[in-house]
Amino acid sequence: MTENKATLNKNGNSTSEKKVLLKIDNLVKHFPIKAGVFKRIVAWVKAVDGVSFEVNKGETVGLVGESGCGKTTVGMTLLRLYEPTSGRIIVDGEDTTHYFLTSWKAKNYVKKTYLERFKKSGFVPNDELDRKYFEIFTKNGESGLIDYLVGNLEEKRLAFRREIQIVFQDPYSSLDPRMRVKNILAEGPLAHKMITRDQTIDRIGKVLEEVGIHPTHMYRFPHEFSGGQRQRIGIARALLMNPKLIIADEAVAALDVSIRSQVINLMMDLQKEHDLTYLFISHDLSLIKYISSRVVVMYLGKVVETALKKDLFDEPLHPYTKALMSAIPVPNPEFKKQRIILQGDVPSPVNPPSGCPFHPRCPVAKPICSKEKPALREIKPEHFVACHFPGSL
Amino acid sequence: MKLEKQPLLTVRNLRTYFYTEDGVVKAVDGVDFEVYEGETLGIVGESGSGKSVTSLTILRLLDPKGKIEEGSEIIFNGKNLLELSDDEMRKIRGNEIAMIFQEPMVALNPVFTIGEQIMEAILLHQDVDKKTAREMAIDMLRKVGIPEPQKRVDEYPHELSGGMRQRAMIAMALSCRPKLLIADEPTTALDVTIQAQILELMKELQKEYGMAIILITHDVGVIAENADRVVVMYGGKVMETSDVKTIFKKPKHPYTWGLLTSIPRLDVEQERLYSIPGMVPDPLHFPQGCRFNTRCDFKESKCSVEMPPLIEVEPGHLSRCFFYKKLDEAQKILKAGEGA
Repeated sequence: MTENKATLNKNGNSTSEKKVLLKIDNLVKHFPIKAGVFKRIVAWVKAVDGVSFEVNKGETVGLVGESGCGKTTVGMTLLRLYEPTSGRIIVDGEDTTHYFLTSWKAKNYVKKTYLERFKKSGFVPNDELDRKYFEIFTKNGESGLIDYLVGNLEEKRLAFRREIQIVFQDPYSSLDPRMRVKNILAEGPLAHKMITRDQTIDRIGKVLEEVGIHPTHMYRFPHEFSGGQRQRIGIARALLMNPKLIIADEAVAALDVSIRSQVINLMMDLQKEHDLTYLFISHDLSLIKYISSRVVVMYLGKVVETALKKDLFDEPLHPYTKALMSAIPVPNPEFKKQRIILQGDVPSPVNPPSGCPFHPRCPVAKPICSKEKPALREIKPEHFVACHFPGSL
Repeated sequence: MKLEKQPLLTVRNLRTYFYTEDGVVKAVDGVDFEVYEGETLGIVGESGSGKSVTSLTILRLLDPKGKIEEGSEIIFNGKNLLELSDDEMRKIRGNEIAMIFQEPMVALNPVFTIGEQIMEAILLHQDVDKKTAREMAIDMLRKVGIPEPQKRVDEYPHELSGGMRQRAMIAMALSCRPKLLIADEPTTALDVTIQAQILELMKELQKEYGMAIILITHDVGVIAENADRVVVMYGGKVMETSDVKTIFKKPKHPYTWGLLTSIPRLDVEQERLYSIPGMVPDPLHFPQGCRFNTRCDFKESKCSVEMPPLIEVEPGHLSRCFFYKKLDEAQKILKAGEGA
């Protein structure tokens, strides 16, 4: 795929102009619950239920929520470790949703998502992507667009796997205990022919040095390192692929307090140096506040609020965001804050409440909240809230 | 005011060593502190600091490899717990001193109902029949805010959510109205909104029952909002102890200071986090002298030779550091809005 190679070379553009690197459009992931002898599907876990957000190049987006809100599923679906139930994942101006389907299914996807709409008379493009694909469609016809989107899938998959990397939460289970660090790190770049075997030691030594591990330690096994060092190795592994996007799923949650800040600072330094883009998934709002430029708050598979960091923390508009903030213990005994203690637990995503998913726990819920699903609306510039009564708490 | 009271629990020179194949692990190595009636003492430290072993030692729940060394004293209500027989200890455990653990799913027995487990403690320590015990169990469940306690009492742990399980644990611990409750990371496994519920519940019950709480956690935010006094542990030793306001405002130990400045916070804007260099030392090979000296920014040659004593830097404020005065300068830098 020539596009992908081209973007790889023209890295280092000016960061001042906003460029959408990742766009998630109405992403849905439902998991079946099977029961009985015939493994009949009896219910669906609606882990992610219509999530949309964007990540601009060079920024850090924090995805925050409690356990079970679907934040990790979003990450996994993004990486295509899960196939999305519906919705689109757009990376660098190309739809990548169908990349990991069989070519027959991929064709069907393209027909359903684009061609059927394009063929209708009086078609009006919805977004940038529509316009781009419609142009190809009018120029090269139906087969031309299918060829553009479904052709060379194998190559596209490879490029995708290289461009999006992940740093996992648990530094103990995410490194193969029977491989030396050198081999763990070399696996990716060798498979993608980014380096030759002779260059391995040189390249890996350099990356290890960058993440603060002595290059001679590349011959050690993972168990010889502490948790913080292993997480550094995990970061090095992602870094080696020159990724466009790094997904960090609770990357520092398992570390001790004093080690945590070392790793956070390292990640921020690397971002500056390599112009990296992070999607930082965490349950820790204070950490999200420190590291992100934009924040997406999720609850029960849905985005409830998204805004620039400053706007969100200065003036949270969704009652859930506000309650979440007030629940975080502040390390200052003299700090007086408004305390909102939510009643009850997070409901099950198998059977989410009607209307607004937050209404059973919401202190300011009104009758309409249990009937009508609030849409994600732009209340202020770049500040989106899914609430019938934003700012009422 | 609180200091004039008689302590409920006094721990003196507590040393718990584990004799492993690789050598002696000095998990707790000379720890002193007091707990007064009705107060909450926060013990804060990272993994390996010895905070959990301290609590297990108080209840004498160590595994066979662990030994409480000669000269250690745990005085509870005038009795040295280390001199009691196993039978006498059993009367105190769960009755006068109760404990709640971090992982309620592991701490609760999966094959008994919640009710049976609460009743077990009541029947063991109080002279009541089964029917009354059941009534008391239901009563306790209502008190900890579990809805429909008559129904829940017959449910098994897996039928409850994480927050509900922790509530059931608290009900079990408080069923005999203990004088001292040891809570070892009671909310670490829970979500923040549930954590807020549980901590609030513990505060309410403390007010009602007048018990003392030892709250063990790694989260300094939880300490700040819930403790009256704080003990900071590192490498099996107490590094600093003081009342909660003082320790957060004017820490007198570089480790405490580092800990406080290295966490992301919601209440202040931070340019860049401070980070304590190096890693938590291996308890098999603690450094010579001060245990923190290899990671300390204020270190001098004396620190790697001699273990500093726990000195009273201000009334009621103890610090294990030779050069605590240097910290005042660092705090000025901190106020200027920069990490060192």
